Amino acid sequence: MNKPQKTTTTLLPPLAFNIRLFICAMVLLSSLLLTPKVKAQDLKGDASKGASKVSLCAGCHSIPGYRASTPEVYSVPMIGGQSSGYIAAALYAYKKGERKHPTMGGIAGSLSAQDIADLSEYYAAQNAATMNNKLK
Amino acid sequence: MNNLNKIFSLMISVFITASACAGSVSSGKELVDKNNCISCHGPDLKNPIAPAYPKIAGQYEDYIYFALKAYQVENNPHVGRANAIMGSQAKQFSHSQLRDIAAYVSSLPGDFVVKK
Repeated sequence: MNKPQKTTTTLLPPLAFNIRLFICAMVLLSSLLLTPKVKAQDLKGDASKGASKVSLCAGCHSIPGYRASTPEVYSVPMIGGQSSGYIAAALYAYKKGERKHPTMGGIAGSLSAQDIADLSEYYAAQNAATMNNKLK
Repeated sequence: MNNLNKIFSLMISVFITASACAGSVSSGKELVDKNNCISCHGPDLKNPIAPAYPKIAGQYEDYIYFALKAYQVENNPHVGRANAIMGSQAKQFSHSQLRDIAAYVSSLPGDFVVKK
């Protein structure tokens, strides 16, 4: 008994198809490379504008030694004098859900990229000589 | 007298509990030195090498402990911080070691202010 031999022929797609695919890929690639990358994190913040945007922050972060949050209660971190890049990075992490926190997730989610930039500069600029915020 | 004894034993148990919760600054310093935290957070832990890294010197102890522990958490919908660098750092330590680290970092002089 002769078993029928299975013949597997790999058919190459027509050349024209390959070229079209190649062109498509190149167009896609170049559009990816040429699109200007404006990262939200690169927005310029303005500390003076941040001063008017602290209403959601000050209730916890302006009270020395204030402790909050569930299920574990701990001191709300000091952010006056923190580096601005980190404050922005932390807010974006809360916004994206990389950092989970019921209150901070909600607050960061409500902030625009410009709000985050301004608030980060505002808190980073604080030092021992900073006067109390007149708008708060 | 009986009451005095009760008060005394209560005081001792409170002291023991408190000392069990608080971290050791000296053990924390060893862990921080050994783990080279300064390579990112800066020699005094308040001059980070990249803008997106935090100053940590002088931050509240219980917050640092909570934050470090949060980097260890995975697949929890409510708690945790997903961060490749700090995740791999924090996961090598026990909770009691994290308390020691927090105690040391918090004991250092920092730039933080709390302003209205």
